[in-house]
Amino acid sequence: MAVHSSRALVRPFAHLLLSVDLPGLGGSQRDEVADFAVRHVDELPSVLRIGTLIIAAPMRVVVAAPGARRLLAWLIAHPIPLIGEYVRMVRSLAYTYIWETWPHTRPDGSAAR
Amino acid sequence: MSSSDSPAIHSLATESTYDAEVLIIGSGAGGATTAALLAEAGFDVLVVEEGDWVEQGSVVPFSLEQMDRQYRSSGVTVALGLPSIAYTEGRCAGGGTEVNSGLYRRPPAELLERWRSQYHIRDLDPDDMYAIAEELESALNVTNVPGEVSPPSAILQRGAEALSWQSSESPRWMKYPAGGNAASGMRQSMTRTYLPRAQRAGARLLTKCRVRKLAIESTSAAYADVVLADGSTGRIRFRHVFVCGGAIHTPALLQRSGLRERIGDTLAVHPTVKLAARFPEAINVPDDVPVHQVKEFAPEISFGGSASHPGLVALSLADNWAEFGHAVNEWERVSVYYAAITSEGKGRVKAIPGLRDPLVTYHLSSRDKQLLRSGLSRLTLLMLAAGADEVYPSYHHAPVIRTASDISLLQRSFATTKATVMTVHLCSTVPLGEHPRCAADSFGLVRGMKNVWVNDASMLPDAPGVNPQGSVMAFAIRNARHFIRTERPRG
Repeated sequence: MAVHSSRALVRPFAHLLLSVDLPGLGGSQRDEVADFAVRHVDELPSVLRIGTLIIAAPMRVVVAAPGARRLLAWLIAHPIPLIGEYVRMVRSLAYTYIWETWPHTRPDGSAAR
Repeated sequence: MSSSDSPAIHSLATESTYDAEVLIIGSGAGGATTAALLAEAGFDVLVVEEGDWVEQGSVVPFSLEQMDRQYRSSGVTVALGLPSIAYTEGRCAGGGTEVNSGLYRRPPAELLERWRSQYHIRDLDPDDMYAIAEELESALNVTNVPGEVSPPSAILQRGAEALSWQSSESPRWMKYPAGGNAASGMRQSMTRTYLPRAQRAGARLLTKCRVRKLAIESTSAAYADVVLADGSTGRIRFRHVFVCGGAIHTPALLQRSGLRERIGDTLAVHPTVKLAARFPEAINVPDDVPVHQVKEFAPEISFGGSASHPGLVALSLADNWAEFGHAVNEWERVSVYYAAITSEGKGRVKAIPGLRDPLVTYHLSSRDKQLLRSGLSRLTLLMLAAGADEVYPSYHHAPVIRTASDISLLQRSFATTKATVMTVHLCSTVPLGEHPRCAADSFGLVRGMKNVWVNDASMLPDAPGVNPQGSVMAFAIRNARHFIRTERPRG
């Protein structure tokens, strides 16, 4: 149930965040990274996981809204409490995974060598 | 291979009932030492560990795989607050000793004296503690790196020399082969030292066994309800129990068992802020951490180096990717460093009915926030003095620092609420001593109980201001010896 929720809520957000942050990252890589983020949200300690999913729910609506990319770019530039923490957590998981798995990735997400 | 080097024998918890004279919950720095001493004294000891046994060398240190296999929640755990503080805990046989930096510091004499007088700890004699420390240093092979230290460590040394700041190499519990170097050490963690010793003396170790609660009647605990490796439940009966699950899960277990008075209310940590620094030459050593620490402003502020896998370099640059991201192209020239403070803030651990994990909170004091700002500024100066061409402080919208005059930008724009604040040192949730605020007596016996003991980082009265494993182990040995003197093996 919890796994299902985090996949439905976090995965689309991670996808959009990566496409805004790292536009050069390939589609299959983005899938892999988003799955990694979902798996780690599932493994969060109880209270943190519940809190994350509570924040993830309205953010899932943002992802589906028209102008989602612009809104997300604004949120990245103007972090607000809780939502900013959510963005930071997903991004932290994603960046750690990307550069550990593909250490020669360029800053825009494209492959360097 | 000597007998002390041989891997310990362990087994998965699969039977539904076990009996033991002494149950030890947790196999880290506190649990493993307690197990070895009690088993050698003739007690029938059973150690249970929630995590798995992971053979040293089978995972790359500080890697994502290690996080997945040896850390609780894959390394993503947070104490909530403004700011929230990310922390990590080991969850494997050997606990945090398998995954930490391996740096060793004795508890400072003035700290022991302060703890003795402030917390009214009976029979805490610094000479006795230092005798134990010497014993530990021998058992763990505490030693300096043979030959040259790694480039990220030399950077700390070089920067401190340029500024005439005090720095020193922190010894580690490592064995180096003849002619070895900084990269060839084998860490002398609990799975290599005290756990095999405990087992040679007859102790049993069950891995993948989580204790849900202790059954307590009046002033004694009779058995532990556990979840076994296959997900089924079981029960362990005992005469005495030592709870050694670390500063978060020891108080959480006691609370779940109905023991709440003064337990979990005094979490202490060493908060850290970080930066990444780029140098003209390749300096990154992904699978090790620097051994030098800069102690010019200790105990309030200390500087050291962090693990710097490419993924962790990217993580430290993520707070201002637009300005910092280019540095990831040259991660071989980048390493990550931290400023740690001795905090006056306090945190709490609260078990929530129906939830598996406790709620953890931490609040920094105004002084802490000031120290973090000061620490990050001084660490930046240290990096520039060591020859960094660019410094990237880890907080949202931080500036790139290229010269000392840029540091004023950092001082103006830094706020802890924007920073990535982390810690790896958690302690003091069941502090020992005779003072009314202490949750356990001077030797770790939980107040009001006759057979429930605490013997891990939870018992430290407050954050020691140095790497705490040496202090935890010295206290654990002291308390185990007291137990052996006052209780007798059943056989």
